Amino acid sequence: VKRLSDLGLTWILCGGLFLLGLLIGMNLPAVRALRLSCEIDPANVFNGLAILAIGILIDYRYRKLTEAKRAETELLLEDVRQVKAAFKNLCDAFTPCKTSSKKLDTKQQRTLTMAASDLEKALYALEKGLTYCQVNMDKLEFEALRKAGIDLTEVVTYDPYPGPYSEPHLKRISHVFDVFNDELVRMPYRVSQR
Amino acid sequence: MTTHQFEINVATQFTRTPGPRKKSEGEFSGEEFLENILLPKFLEAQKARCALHVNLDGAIGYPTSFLEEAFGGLARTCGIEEVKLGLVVTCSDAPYILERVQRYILNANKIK
Repeated sequence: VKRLSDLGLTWILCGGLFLLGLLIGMNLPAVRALRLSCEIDPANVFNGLAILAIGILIDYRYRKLTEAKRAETELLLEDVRQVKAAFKNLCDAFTPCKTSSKKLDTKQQRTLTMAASDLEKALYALEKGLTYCQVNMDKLEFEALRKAGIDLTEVVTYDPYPGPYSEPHLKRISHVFDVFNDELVRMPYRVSQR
Repeated sequence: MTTHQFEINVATQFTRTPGPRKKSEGEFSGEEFLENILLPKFLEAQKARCALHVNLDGAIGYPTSFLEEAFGGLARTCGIEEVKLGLVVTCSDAPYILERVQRYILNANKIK
């Protein structure tokens, strides 16, 4: 729509509507007999101008709505990117749990706790953004992402935190990571197609 | 009913860096918080027939084990209904924590 507008086709369309209004406004029998009258009736001119104005208004309104939706989508996609970044940080912070057979040291514990908290905050910011933009949460299936996110932030610092982590624990936690990742990779497409 | 005199701010009165579940697992544990701050203050508030207000803002984050041990532990000690009625938890930093805390209180007896 923007490209058509840039090419000036909107104005051509409006001009066309104006001419159509003029023609219709002229006496119909003359049109039926395929004769054109050269007389200009002020009422017909007014009629054409009115149609032109309506055309311009519709175009203006449509463009405003399209621009607003595009801006909102950009902001929401930025929120999704923040969630992705927080998720990556959490994956990195959880790595020592998988690679070490020892208990996490204090620094590692704090890094993991902070990463889980940051992911939760990023998810909440996305939820607020979606609510503000009045996005249909059901259509977006946001609840699935939200639930997977809460499960994930919960499980990474639940027993046996602060470690060491056994194989069955790691397998269970790894599954929760996968579930969240599955939901997260779909979110940008869902936001774009809303 | 006022809550002002029965208020705990975890970040200023305990720590900004909450630790694991048990004292034996590390410093600033949920067990330590429960025994030294939360339980005495809750009992004090109960005695005065007031609600205890716990503010979780200001910490870097809360490990699940810490929250479960502190709030689930409080419910296991004082009773789920008593804690539901006598405890008000707030956290504007991370609002999802609140529904988790509520769940730990409600499920307190299923955990241990």
